[in-house]
Amino acid sequence: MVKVVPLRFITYDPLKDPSKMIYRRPISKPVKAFKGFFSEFLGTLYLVYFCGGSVCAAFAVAGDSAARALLGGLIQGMALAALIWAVSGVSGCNLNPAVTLANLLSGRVGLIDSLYYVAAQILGCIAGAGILYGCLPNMYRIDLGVPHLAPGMNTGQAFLMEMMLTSILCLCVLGTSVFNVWDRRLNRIAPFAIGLALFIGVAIGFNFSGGALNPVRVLGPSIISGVWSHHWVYWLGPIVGAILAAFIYRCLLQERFDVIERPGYIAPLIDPSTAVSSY
Amino acid sequence: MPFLHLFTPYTNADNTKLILRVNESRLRLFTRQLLAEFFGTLFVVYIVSGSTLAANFAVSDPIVRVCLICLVQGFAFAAIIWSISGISGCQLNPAVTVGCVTTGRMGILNGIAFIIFQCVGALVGAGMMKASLPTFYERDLSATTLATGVNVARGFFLEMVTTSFLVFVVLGVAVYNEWDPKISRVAPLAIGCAVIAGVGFLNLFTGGSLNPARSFGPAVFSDTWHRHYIYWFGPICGGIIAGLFWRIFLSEKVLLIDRPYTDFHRSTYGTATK
Repeated sequence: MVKVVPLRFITYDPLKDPSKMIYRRPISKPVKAFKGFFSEFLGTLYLVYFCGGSVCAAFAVAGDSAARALLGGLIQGMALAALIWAVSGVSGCNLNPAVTLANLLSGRVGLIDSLYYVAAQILGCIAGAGILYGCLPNMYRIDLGVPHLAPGMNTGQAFLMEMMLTSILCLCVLGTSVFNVWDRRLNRIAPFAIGLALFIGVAIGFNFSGGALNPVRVLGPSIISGVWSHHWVYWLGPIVGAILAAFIYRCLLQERFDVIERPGYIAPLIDPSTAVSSY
Repeated sequence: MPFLHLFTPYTNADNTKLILRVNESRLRLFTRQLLAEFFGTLFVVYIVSGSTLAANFAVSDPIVRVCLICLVQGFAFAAIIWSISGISGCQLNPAVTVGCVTTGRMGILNGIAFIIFQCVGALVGAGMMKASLPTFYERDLSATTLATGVNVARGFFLEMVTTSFLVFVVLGVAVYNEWDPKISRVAPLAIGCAVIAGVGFLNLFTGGSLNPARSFGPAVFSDTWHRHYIYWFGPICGGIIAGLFWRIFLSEKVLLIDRPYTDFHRSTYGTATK
């Protein structure tokens, strides 16, 4: 029986104790599935909170429309980068049904996994929009940041813009964290690249199509605020963009590689029964 | 001679020499950690106050001001955390300290000492900013206040939710990173991104504090105490929430075991050698 460590009065850091080492136990499938579900839920909650909130902040005062696009894209891109960094070790951290679809088509996520990831994302977006609704006073809610089409934009043009911008985002996800066999350590900095891709996408689309790039980012605020105009554009555009990105990478750009047994590998002589505590 | 090393140039270009980190006494390590928190918070509060005063220097677009403020603050946190993260984990934020204590990875007494030194650093930083500017520029030293229409409850919840996001990111990249410990090399950039997002969102509503020390320093020197408690209770509740999320739901249970070989040298700091 491994004793769980309670709160401490004095900090203890095992990395500074030369007689101890950290051993990662294999995680059982149900626990891993629950952690993945919860991290997708919580990550999407925070993401929708910041995506909707960035639009409310950008329109809270009278200001320049270019500066609004800059602020909106900056907040959303940086929030996504930080969130991916935080929970990428727990789940694949999709936070976006379009990215989940791209991962599914690229073979990184299984079908059942992707289904409950999307379910967690839908629950998370509703919770995030609800929290945002509760936190902001009436004068600042601004439909909780539901994206709108600019005057003169028709749905075909908006669809094409959302599709292209989401393709860039999904290409960034696939190129930096899925198909990165040329340098696996790119995973550590990949969240920043993905955040930059969202930043440029939202900055460009902010004043034209609303720059959603994420179906649940629109679904949550729409459910809470009741604004549903042109809602299908923000589902079909990102989904087609994800399919396009997955096709480009998997069929045209992917590098061929083989998976072999590591030569000379010897399992370390570790005895978990000597464990004195969880950490 | 005891102080000869202060006048001797240091170089690691000598191939016959090897750097060996000696074991440090617990008291000296703790002192260095507290000083790192003090100086880090000092410089952060200076830059944070300066960013808002610089943005309000003249008539300009309010949205551009928010962009300037959040970018400067986020990158200031990233740069300063990078510079001293090897010493104390470099939290610079009582809410983050409370989050770490909640997870059990930091002791309660250590946390209390860290918070005290963070507040003292915030005081000195705000004082430095006050001394750096003539009176008509210093205004209220960018003390955080609620915007028109934002009442106490909404301000509290905005600060709480957004600070829980910041502490959630800090714990994810700097504390619960057993899956890839080297990600802590890039953790300051993640924390800077989280600060940019949080401050950018909240700046027009609550002033974008996310940090009780950041609000405490300017409040003391500008005597702006209106609803100041929101900027303590909100972030601390957010830190506790994020700590509980990680501790209960998301943390990976790792075991602490004896090293398989036993002829290590205790004199080596944090490294076992055969």
